[in-house]
Amino acid sequence: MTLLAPILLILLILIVRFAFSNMSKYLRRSKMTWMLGAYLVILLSSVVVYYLLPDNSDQAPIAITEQDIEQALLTEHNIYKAGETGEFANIFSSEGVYKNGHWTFRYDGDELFIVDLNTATDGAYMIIEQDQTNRATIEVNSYKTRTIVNGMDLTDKVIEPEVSLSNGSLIFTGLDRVRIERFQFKKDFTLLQFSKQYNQQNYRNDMLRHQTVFGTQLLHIRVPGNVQIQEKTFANVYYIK
Amino acid sequence: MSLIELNLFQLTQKQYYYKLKAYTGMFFTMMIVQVSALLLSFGGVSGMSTSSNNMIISTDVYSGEAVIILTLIWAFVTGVQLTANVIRDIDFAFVSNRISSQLSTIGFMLTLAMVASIAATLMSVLLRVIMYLYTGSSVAADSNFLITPVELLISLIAIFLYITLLMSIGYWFGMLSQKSVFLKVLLPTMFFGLLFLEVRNDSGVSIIGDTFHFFVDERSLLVFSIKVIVSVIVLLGSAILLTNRLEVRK
Repeated sequence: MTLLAPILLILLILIVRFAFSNMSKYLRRSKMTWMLGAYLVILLSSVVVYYLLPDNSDQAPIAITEQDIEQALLTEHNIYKAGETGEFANIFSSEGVYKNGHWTFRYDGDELFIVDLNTATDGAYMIIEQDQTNRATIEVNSYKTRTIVNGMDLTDKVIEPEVSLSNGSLIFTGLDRVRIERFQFKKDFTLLQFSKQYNQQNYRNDMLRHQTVFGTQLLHIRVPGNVQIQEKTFANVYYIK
Repeated sequence: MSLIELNLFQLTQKQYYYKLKAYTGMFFTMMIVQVSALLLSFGGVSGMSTSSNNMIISTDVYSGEAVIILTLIWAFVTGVQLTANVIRDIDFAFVSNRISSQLSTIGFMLTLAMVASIAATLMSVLLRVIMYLYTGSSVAADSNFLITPVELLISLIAIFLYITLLMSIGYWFGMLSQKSVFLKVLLPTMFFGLLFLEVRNDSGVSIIGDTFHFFVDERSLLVFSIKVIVSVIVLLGSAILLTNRLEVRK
């Protein structure tokens, strides 16, 4: 690829040289002057328009710090460890875990099927807790951890699943993959070269801009102890007695 | 001020204005190059896509660097072009000498550099405005979307210096090529030969690379300006001295 660079350079030089030697053959000078004038007017007008554009900095995703990254990684580590040991009790109330959904259903059946449609819980942690109270209620809580992509906090973009109870089946739906399209600008090298803080602040920001921590979804389901459970799900299932 | 100096100044001025009118095509070529680069920039300089179980994020990165780089290539070619026989011969429609011819050309070159640098700087702004209108206001939320007036000025000065440097190098190559047919073949061959060798990076030679880093790695605008100004004076001065005894017309 790098060998192509000089070839590309030669080609570009030839194109520019060819363009120059043939330009005057096809266009009269007065026409060129008019077009050039229009070109410069458009460029100058764009500066006026640019500085009149509304300030949208409030729409920017929340910028994160190194501490945010550390905390997010720690939370993911703790969840992974809990998955190994089955000790989820402290996870739901720990720092960096946010509740994003709560559902309760009256249920007095003996069997319960847990299913998800359209891979709704793919990759999520499904923690099924059977209590001994036999209170004829199914309680579902959904949690999420921080999602940081390229230095931006996108946790708000992660939506909660939809949960319903129908004919003895607890059904998870609605969790399609969220598609986010982002447009970023890179400042020109002629500016970055002389940016005073480039070596310190910009380098730090550049490092943060490359940090990504995908969050985890946790589904905590509390089912009466007397109910027999069968599940057909894409989630990682853990039982707590 | 002596009478001779005054005449030289007037003559140079006359030739300068004549060149400004006669070579509108050079400004026009610059415009074509910059507009083409702007169109290329709409494709984005880079893009990435990241996905997890519940999220797909695609990011497109935009920059005005393509405009600057193509303008620099245009500047180099234009520098060479300014030494072409057909351009030099025009000077002798006037009562002229080699010095006034070269000074008017250098003046014209600086004017070209100034216009090209203003246009290249503002192209970055135009790109942002177009992207804002095309993608919606969310693009303005990116911190790099904002360019302050001071940043615009810094960018303008830097681009002007780069263009002047590239034009002077092109001019120096062009003038030296006028000395003999041998140099006309040798100089481009050496330049591109070295470029290929350095890209392959197995030769240990790094003349172009070191020269490149001498300018590009400079973080102080003042020191960079001094480096460029001194280099331009050396390049143009040596070009004038070396070619002062060229035949008037070949």
